[in-house]
Parts: sequence; structure tokens; C-alpha cells
Amino acid sequence: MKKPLNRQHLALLAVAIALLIVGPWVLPQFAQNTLVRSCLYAVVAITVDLLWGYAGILTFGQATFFGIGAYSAGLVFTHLGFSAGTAVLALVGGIAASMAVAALVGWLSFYPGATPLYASVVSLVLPIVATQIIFSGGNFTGSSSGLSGFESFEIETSTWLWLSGGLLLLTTLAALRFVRSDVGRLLAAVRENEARCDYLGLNTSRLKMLLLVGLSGVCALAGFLYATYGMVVAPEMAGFQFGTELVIWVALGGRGTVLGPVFGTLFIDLGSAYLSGDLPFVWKLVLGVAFVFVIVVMPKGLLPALVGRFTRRTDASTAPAGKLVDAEPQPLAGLAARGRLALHVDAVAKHFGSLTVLRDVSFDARHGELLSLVGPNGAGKTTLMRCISDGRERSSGTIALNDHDIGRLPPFECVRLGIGRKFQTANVFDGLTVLDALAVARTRLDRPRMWRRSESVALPAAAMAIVRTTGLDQLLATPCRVLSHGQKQALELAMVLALEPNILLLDEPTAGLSKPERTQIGDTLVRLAAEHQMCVVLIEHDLDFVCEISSRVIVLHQGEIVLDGSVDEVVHSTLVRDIYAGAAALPHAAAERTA
Amino acid sequence: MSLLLDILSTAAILFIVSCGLLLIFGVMKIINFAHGGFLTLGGYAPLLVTQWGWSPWAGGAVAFVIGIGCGALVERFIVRPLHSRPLDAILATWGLGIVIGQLITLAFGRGVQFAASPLSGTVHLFGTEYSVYRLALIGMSLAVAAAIAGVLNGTRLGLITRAVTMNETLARGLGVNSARVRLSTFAFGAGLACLAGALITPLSSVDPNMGVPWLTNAFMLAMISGTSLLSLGVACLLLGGAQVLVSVFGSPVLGALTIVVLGALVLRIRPGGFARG
Amino acid sequence: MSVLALEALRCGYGEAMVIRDVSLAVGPGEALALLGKNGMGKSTLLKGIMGFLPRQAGTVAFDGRVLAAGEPHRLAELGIAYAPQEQAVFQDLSVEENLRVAVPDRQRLRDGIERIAGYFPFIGQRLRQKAGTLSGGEQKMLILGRALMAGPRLLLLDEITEGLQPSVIERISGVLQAERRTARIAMLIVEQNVAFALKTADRYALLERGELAEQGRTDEAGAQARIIGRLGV
Repeated sequence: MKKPLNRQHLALLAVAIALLIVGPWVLPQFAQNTLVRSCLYAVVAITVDLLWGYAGILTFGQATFFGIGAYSAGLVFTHLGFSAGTAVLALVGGIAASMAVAALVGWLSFYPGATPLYASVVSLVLPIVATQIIFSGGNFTGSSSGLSGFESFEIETSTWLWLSGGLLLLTTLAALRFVRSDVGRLLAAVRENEARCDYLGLNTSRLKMLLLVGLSGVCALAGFLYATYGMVVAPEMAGFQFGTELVIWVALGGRGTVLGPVFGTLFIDLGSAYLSGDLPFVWKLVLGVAFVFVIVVMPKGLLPALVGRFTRRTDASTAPAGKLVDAEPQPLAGLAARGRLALHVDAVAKHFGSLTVLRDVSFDARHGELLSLVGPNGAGKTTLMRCISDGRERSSGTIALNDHDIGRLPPFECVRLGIGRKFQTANVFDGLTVLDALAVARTRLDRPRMWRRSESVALPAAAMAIVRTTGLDQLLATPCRVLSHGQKQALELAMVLALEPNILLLDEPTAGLSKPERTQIGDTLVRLAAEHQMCVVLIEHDLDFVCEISSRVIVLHQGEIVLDGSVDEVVHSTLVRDIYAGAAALPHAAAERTA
Repeated sequence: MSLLLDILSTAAILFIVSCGLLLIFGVMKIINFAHGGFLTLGGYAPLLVTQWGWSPWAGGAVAFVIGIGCGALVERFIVRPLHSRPLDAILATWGLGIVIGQLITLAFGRGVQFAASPLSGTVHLFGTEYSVYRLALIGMSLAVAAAIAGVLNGTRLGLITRAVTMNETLARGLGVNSARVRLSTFAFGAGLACLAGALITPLSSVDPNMGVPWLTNAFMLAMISGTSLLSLGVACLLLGGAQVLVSVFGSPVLGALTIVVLGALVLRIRPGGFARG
Repeated sequence: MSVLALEALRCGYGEAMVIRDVSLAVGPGEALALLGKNGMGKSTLLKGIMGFLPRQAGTVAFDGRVLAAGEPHRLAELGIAYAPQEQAVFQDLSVEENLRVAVPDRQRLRDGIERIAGYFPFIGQRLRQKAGTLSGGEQKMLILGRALMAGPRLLLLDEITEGLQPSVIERISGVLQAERRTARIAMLIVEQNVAFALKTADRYALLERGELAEQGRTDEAGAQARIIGRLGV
């Protein structure tokens, strides 16, 4: 369903097109020359903004992809001459090479568990390596002086301006459309809370890598045009100084706005062309100081502060609310199909250096069971839950979900085996709305669109029930940030259930909830186990709650299972009493029964 | 034999250049991207000292003092406000490095300049002629390492710095003013960076951009080493050695890339680097 | 004048207000045991007093002087010793260095070690050993010794008996009672071990969902039974 463009946007678009058409006729030659270049720089700046402002990946390396596109043209035209055929070869070759390099960089930077710092470091290393390779190319690459004098298209400057300005306009429109789409929303979610996305079954590494590869192609195209226009290529085009300037333009213009970086790049580059002739180093100094100032004091950038409404953050959170529909019941197929045993834990141990947190933990759980893990602080309950949902955590032993061994699989793959995990502290997406959060949770099952925003989100019965009973269906357009603690807990549970798991892990689901909220959650969990035949495993300190709803209780103490049985067995056990010795003694139910 | 001396002296130089960055990384958990700027700043101290007619040995001391002063200012006004935004802190220090470069260009001009070396000439050692200054640097790096270790292990400031590195929350609960520790660590780290700049200029030359190639090498080494000075020493030996070998038996261009490429690969395979535990 | 006085304190993590409305007071030489089930906010209350968490409402006063949040190290200077529940020793520092972080003055450190070694001999014998290689129980004793060595007026203990053998728990109870009498230290003791708490403290308070459900003296008849009954439900 197309979202109607509102009048403001249409007006802006009309003005932009008008400027583009009229520009080459009214602007002086010098300005036109500069603008051709500035527009191409702005295209690259948009890619930096998408990576940094939207996906949260600070990169100094986009310049290298630009440089690859440029050098592709330079090398091909210098060594193979210029013709329509070689032009196509240079363009396609440049884009392909750029994407290949991006894939390598992505593999290096975005592995599961990588820190954002590491990705930024790699993005700084890339242009350094690239320029060194160019320097060492001798006459082939022109080394430090670059290549020049090759033939190119015989086109007037004004036509070039239409071309590059048109490319900028198209890229801007595409980017704006992209960030408001399902995939754009997904990127925002990954930036906000990558761990939560991992546990929603999303391969965040691959997502980031695909983004980088796609955008590298765009940069290469811009580089190709730049080289064919100027008929010169130099190592600086691929270097970190240019890479840094891009980041500066985006930061000053306003990260995460698409339009901010475009205007920032155009103004600053045009300004540099006019001013830096007179005072070259002072201008750079001013820019540098402004940059540091903006980062410290106004991280959103200058343009949003100055221009207000026109550069409103054009991303997920300003989209209008959609609606919820019931999901088509999908038979659980493939890896997530119900196994004979929901959960199989065998001799699992976890060491931190010389400290043993879990030793020889073994138990099985079936669908339809509601299993509570209890035990004093430090018994290893959360560690055990982490081992079950993340194959890389445990030190030894075997864990199988729905009869599939999880081996060393990372969380997003474990989710694909049918497990859903709810964290102890409400773990949602503060910057997104309730509807957005639910949509992101459905990504694994309902393919997100790249150019459109789905208006409706389909939820399975279990998730829909929660959303309705807690009133979240009236709050679809509310940002998650302003929800109450109890509402966030409910939303997170709904998100996990939207994954349609058949094994559910919950870490202290009643923490911070009021009495009626606790009763509600208790009823929900019982229903999930009984009616929806899920295997529900929870960690709880509220022993009353545990005794009311569990079908089975496992007591952990100092990393070992000391008791595994029904509520009755645990309540009457002297061993358990000793463990909680002197402190919280037996649950009320037992006290009543023995009284 | 001269290959061995090359490796040792390269490792020594890398150590001197990186130790300041490592200290800051250990305590504050951020990479000070202005490190290159401080290196450059310190690199111009020997020039100044020569202009003033002082002994070339004073270059290092002057650089160190300038570094501490500037470092304290930077921490107070740029790094501290960005405590909760580490990526922005990196970006701001990167911008600062650019600003320092521009200021130096305004003050001294863009050109490459040369400073007098405190020790010149070569010495005949094990059958080859070797630069006296390079040899002296090996000794100087050991001295710097000993001085840092002395401060860390022998003074109260060193003790609380180590405490904050290990567990800042616990240290604060026990009465340690961690804000002051951050300030002193950053200032000290900047001072070391400037000192390193002053020590390396006699090897080649000074220009406003000399810091940047060292920056990338330094932060790779720092990230690999975690928080241990000893690990840094080992990393400098191993990677510095690799760089020398690649430069000699491969090409100097590839050699310049060795540390960053190897570093990125090591971190990819072992995100904790060489740090133990 | 109370050593520690909380008035309608409200604090927590982000939006979860774990501590909703807590008022209590501890006088010099008094020990107040803070009891409650897990997840009720006992540790959070201590962190809130120390200023590790922002305060939404209410005040914390030490010797009548209101404390601000956000500067935990100042509280240590004023005479408050805090022994957290988790990660309370520097694993890679030696026993002596762990103590020295809390007690800067050399002479006081030496006197303090002598005094504390009387309670826990191993501290005097293994000063050079890395704290991370001590057993769990020894680490807890080190934590307590360190807190007492700082010569505080107020002691905040978070589950000091966790993971300890009964004999050691006995010893700690004795040490705390002795220090209360001789040094008139005020104590706020967070505990899951009800028997230890009732023996060591003279007053108790029950924390339930961020508020104090009940307060009383530990020597009241039936206090133990009532508390255990309440915690069991």
C-alpha cells in the first residue's frame, strides 16, 4: 500500500527538480564545475549516513569504494583506451571489485561478537591499505601522482551537472524511501539493540554486510562518474583523509537524516572551493573545530538544530501507525518443528577460568511442561539459560533443542531451532514504536520489504492475546521508551511469542510487576504450556508464584542440580530447606499443608 | 645481525609510541584517536628546542610537559563529556587530531623539517655499522617501560589506576575518585605520546602529518595487548619483527601494512588479543 | 542523631523503580538487618544509598548531612564502608594491595592489618597472595576486614555470609557484634540468612516490592517465626 506523499515533501521535491533543471543555465562555470563534484561527494555521504546514522556503524572507509570505482575508470581508459565497451567494462568492473572488497571487509568487521570499535578500526585501516597498494603499483597505477590524460565522454559541463545532480536526487529519494521501509526499520532496531535482534533470530552480521556491499556499489558508481568527468584519478580519492571528510560532513549536516548530510556536503564543499583559495588552513581548522564542537555539544548535527521541521528525522519512528492482524497458522516446519524432546541438556559445565559456575547439569524437558529453575543467588541459573540459548557459551556437554544439537551455534541460529528467550530486564527497542517492535520480531517469519513499509503486522494467537489483554493494542504508535515497566515486560513477551517458538525461556518474568500483573503473567504461562503445547522454562525467585504455576521444579545450588521433581517433592524436601537454611523457608503452600 | 638490531629497535620504537595509548585504553576503555596529533605535537618540540638553543636532549622533556598539559585540557573538555558515548569520544579525538595538525601547519608551515639528533653517527657493532641513536632507543624504551611500571606498582596513583582499570565501580565504592584517575591517566598518556614524538623525529623528519601512520599501528598494538604492558612488549616484538622481515624480504610498502593487517586478523580470530585470561 | 537516615527514598534502574518509598534510621552502634526475598531490592537500596544510582525522590542523610547521588567515593571519605555482594575484590591485586586501595595511610594500614588479623589470621599470613586465588569464604572475610579497617562510622554489608560455612558465619557474627560495642559502628546488614541477621542485629526491617513491610526489634518474641513465615510466602 503506497503511503501518500504529503504536501511538504512534494513541494521540496518540486523545488529540487526545478533547481536541477535550471542550475546549469544560471550558475557560473566555476560553480558548475564544483557542483558536479559536490553532488557525487554527496552521494557517497548518503552511504556514510546510512551506515553510521541509521545502522550505527562508524566508517571511515567509504572513500575506498569511491576510489575503486574511480581507479577502475582510470586504469581501463589509460591501458585499454576509451570506447563504449571499455566504459561499460570499467563501470561494471569497478562496482564488482568494490562489492568484493566490501564483502571481505564485512566478513572481517561484522562477525558475531565483534565490537563497534573494531569495525571502525577496520574501516580506518582499509583506506590506508588501499592507498599503499596504489602507491606500490608503479607505472600501472600511476603511484603517487595518479593517472591522467585519458580519454572520456565528450560531454559539456552542464550535461555533467544534470547527470550528477540527477544521480544525487535519485539516490536521496531512494535512501529516504529505504529508511522508511521494513528493512530500514530493521536497521534501526539493530542499531538500538543488537542483542535483542540476535535473539529474535536475525542474522545481524549478514544484514550489516549486505548493507555495506550494496552501498559500496553506489560509491563505486559515484567514483566512476567522478573519474570520467575529471579525467584524473589520484590516490587521495581512496584515502582516509577523504574518508574522514565524509564523516565530518555527515556529522555537521546531521547524522541519521539523509538530507542533513546532503546539504552539509554541498554547502561545505562549495564553501571550501570558494574560501579555501584565500585561507586554506584556517578554513580546515575552522571545520575541524566545528566538528569537535558539534560532536561534543550537538551530536545531532547543525542542520537539524537550524532548520527544524524540514529535516525531521525521516526514519521508522515517524511513520503513521498500522494495525495488527491475526497470523495465518503456519505448521512449524523444518528445524523448528516440535521434536520428541523439547530440551535435552546433558552434562553441561561452564567454567570462567578456575571458577566453575555449572557442573554436570543434565535434564530433559518436554512440550507442555512448565519448568521452574530455582536456587539461591549465584547458583548458575542465568548462566544455564544463557548456555541453552547460545551454543558458544558452555564449556562442555551437549544441548539439543527439538532434537537438534546446538553445537556452537550463535543465538540467532538457536532461535531458528524453535527457542525464544525473554530477558530479565525489559529488553525492547526504545527508539521504535510498539508496532515497529512487533514488526521487527516478525522479521524471521514475514519477509521485510526493502522499499515499502508494511502497514500491518501479523501476530500468532499467543502473542495477540498478550497484546490485547495488556492493552498494548491501543498503544501501537507509542515509542517503547515511554511504556511502563510492566508494559515493556509484556511487549517483550509478545515479541518473543511473535517468533512462534515452541520452547520459551524466561528470566525472572515477575520482577518489578504488581500483583495483578503477576497473576496475569502466571495465567498466560500456564496457558502457553497447556494449550499451545510449549515447553516453558523459567527462572524465578518468587517461590509462591513457582508453586502455583509449575508442573516441575529444578533446584540449582552452586552449579549443580540438587533436586528435580514435582512441586510437592520440592516443597517437602529437607535438602531444599537446608539450602535456603535459616532464610526464606518453605513456601506458604507447604506451611499450610503441614499446619 | 643488523636484522636483529632492526627488529629490536623497531620493537622499541613501537613500544614507546604505543604505551601511552595502551594506558588510556586500559583505564578509560576508549582509543584516543588524537594520539597521532600528540605524536606530531611532540615531534615539533625538538625543533623548538633547537631554535631556542637548548640541548637536543631537552626535546623529550619539553614534549612530555606539553603533552601532560594538553592532555589534561582535552580530557576535561572533550573526553569527559563523552563518557557515555564512546564512539563519539573516538570521533571527537579524531577531529581533535586534525585540529592539532592544522594548528601546527599554521604555526610551522607544511613542509618537512629536520631536527638535530641528540646522538649522531654510527657505531661498529658485531661486524656492521649501526646508528647510535637507534640503539639508544632500545635503551630508552626499556627506561620508559621501567618508569611506567615503577609508577604503576610503586605509587598510590599507580595502585588506584590499576584498581580503576580492573573494576571502576568497586574502586569508586572504596573511595577512589575515578574522575581524577581518568584525568591523570589521559594526561600521562598524552605526555607519553608527545615524548614518543620527540624521540622519533631524529630518525627521519617532522611534518604536520607524521603522526597518522604511527596512530594506526599503535592502536592495533594496543587493542591486541589488552591492558598489560608486558603483552604490549611481546606484541611489539612479534609484530615489529614481522614488519621488519616483510620489509626486507618482501617490499617496504607491504612492510608498512604488516602490523595493521596482522593486527586486524589477530583481533578477528582472538578478540581478546594476546591478553591472558 | 542517626548516623544514617533515609527519608522516602525512591530510586532504581532506568524506569523500573525498584525502591519505591523507603524511610529508616540507624543510630551509632546500632545494627539494622534488611531482610527480604530475592529481587525485592535490597542490593539496590544499598547502591542507592552509596549514590551509584540516580535518586528519583527522597533523601539520604549521614550524621544529619544530606548526601548527593553520583559521588560514591566521597561517601567513603566521609566514613561509610560498603561491601558489595558481587565482584567485591580486585582479583589480580594482592591481598595487601586490595587493603591498601581502601586505606591510603600506611600507618593506619599497618595497625588495621594487625587488628583484623586478630579476627581473620590468614589475612596477616597471605598478604602477597593474589586475591583471586583465595577461596570464596576467604574473599568474603577479606571484604569484611577491608571494610572494618577503614575505620568507618557506618558499615553497609550486602550478603556477607553468602557461600560461607556455618563456623565462619558464627565468627563473622561475633566480629560484627564486637565492633559494634567497641567502635560504635552503625551497621546496615542486607541478608538472606535470617538466623544470622537476627543474631547479629538488634533491629530488622523487611523489604517487600520496594517498600518496608515491617520493622521491629530482633529480640521481640516470635520475631523469627513471623519473619520466616513472611519470607516463605
